[in-house]
Amino acid sequence: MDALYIILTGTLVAWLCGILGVFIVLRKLSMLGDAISHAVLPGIVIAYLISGDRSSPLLFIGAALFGVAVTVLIELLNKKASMQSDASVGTSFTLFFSVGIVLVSLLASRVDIDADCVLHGEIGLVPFDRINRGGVDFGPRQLWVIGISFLVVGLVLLWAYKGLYLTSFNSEFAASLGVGITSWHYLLMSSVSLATVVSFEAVGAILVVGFLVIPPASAWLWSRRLNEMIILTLIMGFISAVAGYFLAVLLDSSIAATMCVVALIQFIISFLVNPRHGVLKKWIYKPQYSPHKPM
Amino acid sequence: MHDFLEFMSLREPSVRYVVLSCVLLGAAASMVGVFGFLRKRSLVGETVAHSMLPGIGLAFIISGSRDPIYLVTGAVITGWMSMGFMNWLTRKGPIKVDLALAITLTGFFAIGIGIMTYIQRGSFGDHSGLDHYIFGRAAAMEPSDIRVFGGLAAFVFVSVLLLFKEFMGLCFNREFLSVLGLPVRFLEFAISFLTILAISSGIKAVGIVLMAALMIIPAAAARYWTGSLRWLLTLAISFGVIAGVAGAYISFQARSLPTGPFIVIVLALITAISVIFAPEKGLFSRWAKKKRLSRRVAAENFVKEVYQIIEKGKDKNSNISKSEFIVHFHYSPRLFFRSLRWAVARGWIVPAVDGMKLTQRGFSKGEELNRLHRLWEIYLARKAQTPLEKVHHSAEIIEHILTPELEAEIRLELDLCDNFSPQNEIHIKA
Repeated sequence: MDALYIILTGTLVAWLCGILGVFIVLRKLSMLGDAISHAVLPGIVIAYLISGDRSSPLLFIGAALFGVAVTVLIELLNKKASMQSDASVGTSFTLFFSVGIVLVSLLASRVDIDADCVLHGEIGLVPFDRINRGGVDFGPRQLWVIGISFLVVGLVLLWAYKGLYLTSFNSEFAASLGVGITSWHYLLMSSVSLATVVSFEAVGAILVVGFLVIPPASAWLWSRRLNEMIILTLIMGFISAVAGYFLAVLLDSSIAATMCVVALIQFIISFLVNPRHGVLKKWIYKPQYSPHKPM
Repeated sequence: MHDFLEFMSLREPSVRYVVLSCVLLGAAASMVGVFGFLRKRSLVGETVAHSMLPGIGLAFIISGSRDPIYLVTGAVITGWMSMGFMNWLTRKGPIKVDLALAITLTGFFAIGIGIMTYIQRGSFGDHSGLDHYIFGRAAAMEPSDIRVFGGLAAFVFVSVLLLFKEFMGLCFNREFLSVLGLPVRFLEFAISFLTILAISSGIKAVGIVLMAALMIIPAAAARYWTGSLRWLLTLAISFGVIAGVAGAYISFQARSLPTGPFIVIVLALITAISVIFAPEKGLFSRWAKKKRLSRRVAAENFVKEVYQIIEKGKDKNSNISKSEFIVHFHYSPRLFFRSLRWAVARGWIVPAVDGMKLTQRGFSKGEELNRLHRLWEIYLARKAQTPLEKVHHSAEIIEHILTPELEAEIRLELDLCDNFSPQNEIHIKA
């Protein structure tokens, strides 16, 4: 039963991150996603410290604030202070993350998180932290939190589908229609910070990027349409949760990490064999003559 | 303060060597980082650094010891593999650099975390201290660590100094290098390899998660102060060294705390100071420059408009009251007084009893601005075939920045004789 809870939690994390990751990958914002998931750490720690409760709504507010703050800081450094974009990303999020780590190590006695939790989460502990109301067991708390967040983010994305679709594929056209590109951007970014907070306890602040980016990237290689890509992302997320769990049991290792590793293996396979740009295909059918290249 | 002096006197040998090692690695990392920064590949360091975790773990499993020489070898190998993987993804398929970076970073890091957890739970003897490699622990460096990491950093430092000219060419003019017959591919290999070595030299003192910051941030901060590569390197190295020493100091003060984050915070402070106060490129000086320009433009507009009132048939020395000015030009009271103040400060206008008066300098300034304005309008209409209703707006801007040389050139272009005055031409106004 515990195994089922863990796999279910892993799947929901992969789905929650995956549906957001689809848009992150399409908009070529992968490293920004990485930056945000690192940067929400101080928000989480401060909110922990104030509320003393791991499921307090303050956590979401804190994280969302810091997630948006890092996006704004990157923009400011880039536009106002004319720092080149890769350096502004690298500077901003390492600063936020460092502040978070310093807080974690200074407040280790008062806050119930440690460096390990930041690195890879504790998905194995999910089944033990249960909601108990009047003697009735409602199942693991994390499962509820992540499940509800998945529903909320799913509904938001459903509502925002058209706007995100337009701004992801053809932002000039969207702008000419009067669609506000910036507001969709920030909607997506705050959803990513929300997803990071929710997944933080289960998979940590760094590995969450793997769930955010890798399954959508593999799905992207196979698909021609947005809805295909989303469905494939969900399937791949599910497979990596299941296979990752059993791999972790087999090797006696961190579950979140092995889930990520399985996602990476899926990606490499997709990269090699997918029908459109697969590398293997190019090896097998090596063209004898290519008009574009000199002989 | 006493603690700090005690620390800086370097009386204790253990302190001395840790500080030396931090200085070396701060210098090496920021030096290599400058080249990464100039080639717009700062985030590659981030990915490579994270990818060293599996190497450290595997090296520990295989060798069964915590000897830094094995761990660094492992780290360099997987760092190298991650770079190869990234290049493979971007060259052979449709994956863009950004996505390749993110996938490689998390993929390799996940493998590393998997291996580290495996080590923690398995029976691999004494694995304490391996977690220092994640967030760094400068004070925990032993003499053997210092030999390896300090040696690596010194090697990187000297190599970059020797290959300085070639690397400079690689950043600014790659084609030129290959025309000269220099081995461009070898140089690219060398710079990547030195990057990896520089990162690996800091994995124990700074930690793999934040090591990349020591490469990115000094270069980014130094860029605000200078435009020359030599100064860029010098400044970046000084920032790196300051951060390294600060990290070592903090680590000795609080031995249980990780070093890496503190180094990043010190670097961020340096960056903040640079971004705000650097001359020319800093926010403050750019803001002041903008302010000066907008004041000058406002004062010039004001004088020009007073001049236009006079031009409509008044005596050069007559007073112009505020109400008279407002009738012609719709200034808000606030704008009116500020523009007046700035014009007075420049000696173009003197306040009089019932209004204001142009000075001699103000009169010639107004005349010049009007002349330039009309000259530009004529130029646009005749030479650029601009519709007449559009020429005015362009001239409103250009009148403030036309120099006498440009004016002479436009006159030449328009075939105007020297004593031609555009005032006599019909004034075109939209």
